[in-house]
Amino acid sequence: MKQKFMKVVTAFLMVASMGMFSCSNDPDIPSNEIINKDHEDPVKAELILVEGHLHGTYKFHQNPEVEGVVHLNKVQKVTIEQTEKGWHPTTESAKQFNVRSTPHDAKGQNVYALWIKYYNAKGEEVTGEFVENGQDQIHQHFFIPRDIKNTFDGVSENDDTNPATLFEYFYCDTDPWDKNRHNEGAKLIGDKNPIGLKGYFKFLKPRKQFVLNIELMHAAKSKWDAKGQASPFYAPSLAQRQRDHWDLKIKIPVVIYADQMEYLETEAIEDLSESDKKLLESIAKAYSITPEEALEDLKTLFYGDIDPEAGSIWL
Amino acid sequence: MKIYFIGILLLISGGLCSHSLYAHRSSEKIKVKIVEKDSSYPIVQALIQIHNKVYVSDAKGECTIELSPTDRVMHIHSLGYKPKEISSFRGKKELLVFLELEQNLLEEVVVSSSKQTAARSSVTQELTGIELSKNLGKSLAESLEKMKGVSFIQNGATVAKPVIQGMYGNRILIINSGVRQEGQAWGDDHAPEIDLNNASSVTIIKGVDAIRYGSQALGGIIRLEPKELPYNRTKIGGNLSTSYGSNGKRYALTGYLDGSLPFARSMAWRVQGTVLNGGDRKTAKYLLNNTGMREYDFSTALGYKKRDFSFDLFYSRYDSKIGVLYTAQRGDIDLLKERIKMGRPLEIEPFTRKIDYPYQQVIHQIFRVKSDWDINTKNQLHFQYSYQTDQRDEFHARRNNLSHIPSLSLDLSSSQLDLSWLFFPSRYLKTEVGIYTGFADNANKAGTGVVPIIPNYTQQNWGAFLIQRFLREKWSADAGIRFDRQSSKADGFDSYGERYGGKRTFANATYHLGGAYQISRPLRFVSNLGLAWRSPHVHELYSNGLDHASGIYVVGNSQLQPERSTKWISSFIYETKPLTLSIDGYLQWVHNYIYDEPSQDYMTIVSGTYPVFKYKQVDGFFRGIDAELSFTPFSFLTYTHKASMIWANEKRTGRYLPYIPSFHWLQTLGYELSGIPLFHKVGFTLKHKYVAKQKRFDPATDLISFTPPSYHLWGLGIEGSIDFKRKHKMTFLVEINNLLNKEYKEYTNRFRYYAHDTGRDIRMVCIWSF
Repeated sequence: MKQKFMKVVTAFLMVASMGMFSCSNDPDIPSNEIINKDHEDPVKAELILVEGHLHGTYKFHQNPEVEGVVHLNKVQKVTIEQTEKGWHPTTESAKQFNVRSTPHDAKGQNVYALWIKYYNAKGEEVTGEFVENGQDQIHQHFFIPRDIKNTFDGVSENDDTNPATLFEYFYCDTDPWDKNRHNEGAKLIGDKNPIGLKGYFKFLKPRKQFVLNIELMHAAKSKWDAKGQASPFYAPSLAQRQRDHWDLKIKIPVVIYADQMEYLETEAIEDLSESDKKLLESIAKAYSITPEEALEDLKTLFYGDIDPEAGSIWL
Repeated sequence: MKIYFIGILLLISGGLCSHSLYAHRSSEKIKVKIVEKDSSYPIVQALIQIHNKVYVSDAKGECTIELSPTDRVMHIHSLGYKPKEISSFRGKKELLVFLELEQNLLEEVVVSSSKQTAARSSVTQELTGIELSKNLGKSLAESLEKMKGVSFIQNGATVAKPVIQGMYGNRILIINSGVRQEGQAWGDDHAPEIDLNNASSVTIIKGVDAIRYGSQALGGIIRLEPKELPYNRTKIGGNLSTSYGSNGKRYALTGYLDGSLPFARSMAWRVQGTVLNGGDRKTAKYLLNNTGMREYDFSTALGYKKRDFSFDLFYSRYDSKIGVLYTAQRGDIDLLKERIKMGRPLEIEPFTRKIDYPYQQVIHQIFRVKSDWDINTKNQLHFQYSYQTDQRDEFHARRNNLSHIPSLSLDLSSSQLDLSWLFFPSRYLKTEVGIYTGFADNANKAGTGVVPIIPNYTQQNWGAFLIQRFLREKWSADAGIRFDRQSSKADGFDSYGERYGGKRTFANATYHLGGAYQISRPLRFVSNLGLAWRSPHVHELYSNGLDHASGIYVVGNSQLQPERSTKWISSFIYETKPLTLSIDGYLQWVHNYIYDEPSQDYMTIVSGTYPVFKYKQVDGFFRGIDAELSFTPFSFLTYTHKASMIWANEKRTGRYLPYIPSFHWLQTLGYELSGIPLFHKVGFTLKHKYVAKQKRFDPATDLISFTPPSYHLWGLGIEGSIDFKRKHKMTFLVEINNLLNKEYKEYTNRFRYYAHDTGRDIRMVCIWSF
């Protein structure tokens, strides 16, 4: 009796299981995870480089724009987008940054502040995602010069390959990240908690060009080492290179076309000295303009009647 | 007691002559032939009990029985086989009885060489009983490595996939408890989702024995069989095993209980469970952080068996969590170069059992219903239905506190139905006909925020086969043919939000021809030729995304055609008392062999620029030799050699194919002590393993242009067993692997870019059987 029952059960299962295979065999409708990214991934970044001066180690203030200047503007912006072949400047964007060096001991040093802003596919700014909700503890931008070369008129030096002698970078991140310390009540945190969404460069050597690799580290655990120290701006530790994730790698050419202290000795084109010609040539090459256009901009800058403290951008 | 009784009867019976021990007045006679179920080889000296009479089978496995009118039930016993009870024999002149091997009686037998009977034309190896139990705490691939011709591909210290004669992944079919394992075998870092402790035997079938099991098995088959349910046993039996491994401070506990129901002895049950827990593994010189693992496995079975009918239900759950070495992140191409140059982790954290991101979590469940019905002595029916689910989640450190959301989350469910009919037209012939259908549905879970590497897909399989076996005393031959049809549909979104996928249908035939011949008493020859095929997997057809584990951007090729393999494998086995030698040689031509290699192109996505690996197919030629020599000059001393060598390259250009194991050589010296008080047996083992540098290597198939150097590993083992009263037995094992703590890298370990292989490990195992 029991055996008969089991045979009936088996026969039933055979029929039932055959039935299971006659169901629809279409795969599940897929989900487009690009939409599901929860704005996690930036696809566009703006790098805003502003020439300015300091009111203290971390108090950057923009040098004002001078009306009539066509090329040598104080604010340069590179917009890059993610493509299949990497992060590349958009067609309408500047393709490089042109800057001047500043001697260590110069007064009224020219420095360059850099703001990095990230946008998602919808065009919404997502910069805060790298700072908010504790993300500041695992993120740090590094600024690493690679492929360092002389400009066409530069002179090789023994320490050219040492990034630390080429420029300095000061992390000036604030809390909140999108406010400034000057008039928006933000607090400086970058000196102790380097993130690199904002900070400034001090370029130390004239007539050098290099590719600035901006690499965003996403630490697997923490960006701090065992002693509670973060890595310097140009040198993530080997352990960080090995173990941590690198969310973004942006490469921007930078040309230090001249030194801050280089000026024209004369403004008449026929009276230009060799050093004047050299400067104009350097500017012209960097900006892809003619020496005459460079001269016009320099003259406008020199005669422009403007308060040096009239700049509106503060870190 | 029963065994003693049977033994005495055997003595009385006087060996080979078949005769009745009792005289009976009856005119009805029946000729009974008893053969082994697997091989149909005659079983000599089997006992046939009918009422109060006992008969013994002769050299041909036959005996003639005189029946009295009251004889209704026949009990058949033979040492090493499961007893059988037959009731439907009245009115017949002849009766053919098949006995199954009793696995638990082979506990003491180390069957690590080819198991060959005259009837079997497949080249096989088997691991059973205590030898299998000793592998507690090891993965399936690691446990099989001691078999000749078997190695493994690793993804770090904890993920290993078996390789049989150069073939791995989807080219190897795993039959787990009678069910084709349907997991995510397509992934390089996806180990088989199997609890080895659930099996009482593991068989490696090296030939293209795909007729019965279906296409795909170009490389071979790994068959894991659970212990038979103990029908009619009155006592509860079981086993409890524990192990501890010093490397990673791993501990494992496994055990089972089984018995029959007191109110219905024809119904039997079993429950089994395994717990594994390990922390960070270490190389010879440093810890491999985040290589801990957890495993919680459970299985249960309930069966009914009476006379000619059996029915059983089986359920198993495999649940594992495996940490991935922190530094095993390839990153983009620049980082990869830097990381390869470092070659080992630079920052080492203290040992921990904690598993951090990245890690993978897998839950695999199998539900199976099986039924066998011996319709009469010449016909048997087999039915099996199984349902499996495989849930794989892979987690990585992600921004915005999103690490708890898996980067890859796959849900696979599959059903399989097998029906087969076994027919014995004559004493020398065995025919098997079967049909199979299977359906698999693999879907990426929505909401991961990461573009999955493979699309959602479904796969429908249909197959039918016919196997004909000819069995004689000295030789056997078998031939088979199988038709399969596989259709798959894929649908997904790629990295740019574009829909992709498609439908492919493949249909093909598989053939098999084999034979075995007992040349002389010690010498046996087995040879078979198989033609098989494998349709490209959806991963190979449609992949389009970043493989987070490997750090490569994988691009499939929807135009790929099925692989077609012709494999000829032959084996010579020479067995005498002091010397056993077996040599397996094989030639395998694979038309349209599919593999991926760097395309010298790079793909940039948000997280960086990655090397693009594209799938391609070429005509490949594999050939190799596996050899084993065992010499026992004295009963207490055994010296064994095992070696494997394989060549694999593209036929047209001669280019070497990737991830083919280099020359492996294992030698073992065993010394056994007897007469030690308390202990039944004490043995010592010294092992030496040599792995050559892989020189048959094409740098274009890899991210780096060199292979690791050769290495030697030494090992030491001590084991003993104590027999207690009432069949209780305790076995102890202490095993030291990598005794000299050698720092080395293995070519087939994909983590060799970032770290060395594991260092010294002292493993202790204790097995209590009751």
